[in-house]
Amino acid sequence: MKWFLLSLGLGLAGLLIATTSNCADLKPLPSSPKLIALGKQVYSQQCTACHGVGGRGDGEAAYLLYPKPRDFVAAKYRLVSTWERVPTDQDLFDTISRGMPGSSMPSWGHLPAEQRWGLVHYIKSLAEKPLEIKSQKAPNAEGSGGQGVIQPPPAPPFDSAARTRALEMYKEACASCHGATARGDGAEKQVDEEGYPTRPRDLTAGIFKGNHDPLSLYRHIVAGIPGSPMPMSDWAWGADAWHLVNYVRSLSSDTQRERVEMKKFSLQAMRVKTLPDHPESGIWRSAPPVNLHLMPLWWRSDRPEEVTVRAVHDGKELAILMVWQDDTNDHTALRPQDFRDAAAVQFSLAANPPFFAMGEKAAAVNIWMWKSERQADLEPAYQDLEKTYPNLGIDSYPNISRSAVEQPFRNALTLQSDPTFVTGWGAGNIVSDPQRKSPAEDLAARGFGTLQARPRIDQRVDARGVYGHGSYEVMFRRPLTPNGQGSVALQPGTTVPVAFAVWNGSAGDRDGKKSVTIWQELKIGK
Amino acid sequence: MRRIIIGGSAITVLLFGFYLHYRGNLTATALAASPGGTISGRVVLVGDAPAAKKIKVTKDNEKCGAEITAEDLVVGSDKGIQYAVVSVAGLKGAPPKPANPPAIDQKGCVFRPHVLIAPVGVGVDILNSDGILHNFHTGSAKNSPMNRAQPGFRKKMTETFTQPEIIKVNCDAHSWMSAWLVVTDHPYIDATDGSGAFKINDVPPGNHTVEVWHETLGKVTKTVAVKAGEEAKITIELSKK
Repeated sequence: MKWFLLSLGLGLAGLLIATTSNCADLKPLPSSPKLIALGKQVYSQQCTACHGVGGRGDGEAAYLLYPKPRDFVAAKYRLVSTWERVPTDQDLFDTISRGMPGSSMPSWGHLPAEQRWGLVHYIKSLAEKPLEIKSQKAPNAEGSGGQGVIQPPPAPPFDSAARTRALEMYKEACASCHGATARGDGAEKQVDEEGYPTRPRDLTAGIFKGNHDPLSLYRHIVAGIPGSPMPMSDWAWGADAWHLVNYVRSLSSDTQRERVEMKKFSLQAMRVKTLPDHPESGIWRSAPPVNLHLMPLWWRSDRPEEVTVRAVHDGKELAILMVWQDDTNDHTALRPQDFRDAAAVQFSLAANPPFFAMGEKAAAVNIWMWKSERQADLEPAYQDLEKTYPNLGIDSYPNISRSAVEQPFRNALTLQSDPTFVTGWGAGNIVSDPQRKSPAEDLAARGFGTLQARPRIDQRVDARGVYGHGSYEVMFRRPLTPNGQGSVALQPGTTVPVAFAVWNGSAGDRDGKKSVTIWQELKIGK
Repeated sequence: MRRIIIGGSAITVLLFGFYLHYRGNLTATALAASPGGTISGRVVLVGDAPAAKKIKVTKDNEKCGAEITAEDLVVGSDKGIQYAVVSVAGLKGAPPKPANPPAIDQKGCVFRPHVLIAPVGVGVDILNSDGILHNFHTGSAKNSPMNRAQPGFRKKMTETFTQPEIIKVNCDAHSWMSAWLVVTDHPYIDATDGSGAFKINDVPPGNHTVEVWHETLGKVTKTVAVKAGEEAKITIELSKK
């Protein structure tokens, strides 16, 4: 009976592997000038911001990113399945499709397969040295002399003897860097081949750069990760690498492994009779929650992993609720070294969205941003400098709208000053206005460094955020009909591309240092 | 009939090939047999020798000890520089066939030797006397870069390099470990010993340029006249920039 169950289990596992790899393959498309041209077109829209126009990994956003975007000219790829440590077309396709968790490379699995194959062949064409894979040759028993794609022997069962062997091998060959407890806490400081600091992966966190199905993981263990300190473990070829695959996979769960993939999800904004007027309103319960995956642009292990989003509308207004975890309520930004928590929703004005980060020159995005210190300014009062520095002497300017006897002397706080001398406020910038009544800003952007507030009279986004129990709940509301240029139209029955961002002030997040999702789709119900 | 002609020409080509091969061998033998000269001497440091850098060991202390002395600049007696690579530029010749395969050991968490000269196409034995995990990570450009794990139970790995190149070797498990693999396609090369001395035998007579490379002091060249059967003695000075 036991045998029967075991073989049934193995059979099922085999079936599972077969199904996953079938889904992933979708028949490779061979290179052709037409496909390369398509790849180039997609590349220029989706990839240049990070990887650069020439593919040198030096795009506009590259300085904000860690790990760094790949240089396609040097073509030193990390995820390879061959003995010569060169990626196959399938390796590149898989990386594009799944992205690279643990970096800011998101999944592009939502692009049609043809476009992804186009990208594969286009980026290959950028390499200064062609990527060559030798003809297939099996290695000897010690794992030496193999050529071509690593083809492991059939997987042995992961029974208790195999587990013991895996633990032994882990201790001998992996613990030195990944740590005895597999938390990536080996004692050595490491750098990659470009000289950037790097850390061995915390294997309990489930962040696998490449596919984590057993076969892919097997190949990544045997081939190592070129360019990084992770060496080739050809010694493990045969059964040992299978034992290690099974052991390493047992340290994390499917849920963990899936959560780090930057995927596209679908949000439904259903029509309700009455809109919620508070983040904790019971009406939100009728809206289906969707957990969206977040990635920090500068990767760190202490990060918000998910933001849970709900949306509803009443035919007149749309309401969106964002919920995410944050251990600290950072709601002042008075000292230069202090940063606030914040959240933002980004909408594409076009149905075919531009690059997911801040739009493009030719395609603007509309952004609603909520700031925790703005919320605190309203509840109960504007947080002026005295909140952090009581009795601080502050130089002041005469307020010409007041009489001579009413002039402020020292200790004139912002609100008592003449706006003319508080330049942003004086110039009418809503972001600097200490008297604003909403914690939300309605903004527009056309690429990095172009963010600006929409005109004061067009500010119609309302928001409310509450903090408690280590998490934020922030809701936004705005009428469905757009007002003015750069305002997103939210017609019932349409689908609007939407993306989200979260800032953690105590982690130093501000501006481009944040955690983001890629474009999601928001379906506004009729 | 045509087939015979084609067959015939193939045989001719083959024969001609053999002839060339034979002739080539003859020339090589003739060169080696003709009495060459020797270039010997020392590589020395100009200026004060810096104190050897000590690196504190933070892991695997039972095998690596508490402290490692860096070998990026080893200055011995009379300011002789160890681990400088001296070669004669522009000379071609069959790479030397060593009696024993060149070997580099990882012992006490240090690569021994720090500089290893290996002929192209000859397997280099990579040994692990420590019995703990090391990884052999090369920063090569002409040879395909490699990074192979060598757990403690894997006492020996062999790796062959096909292009002449000076390759830096690191171990990511022990960041202080470094070595240089000098892959050569000719026999006119030597690495200096603890007193900075080197010796290159069987150099064809004539004027030659001697090149010295050191990992931290860089490269210098010097011309030297070699006479058959004689030893040309030179001293090459390196200085910190």
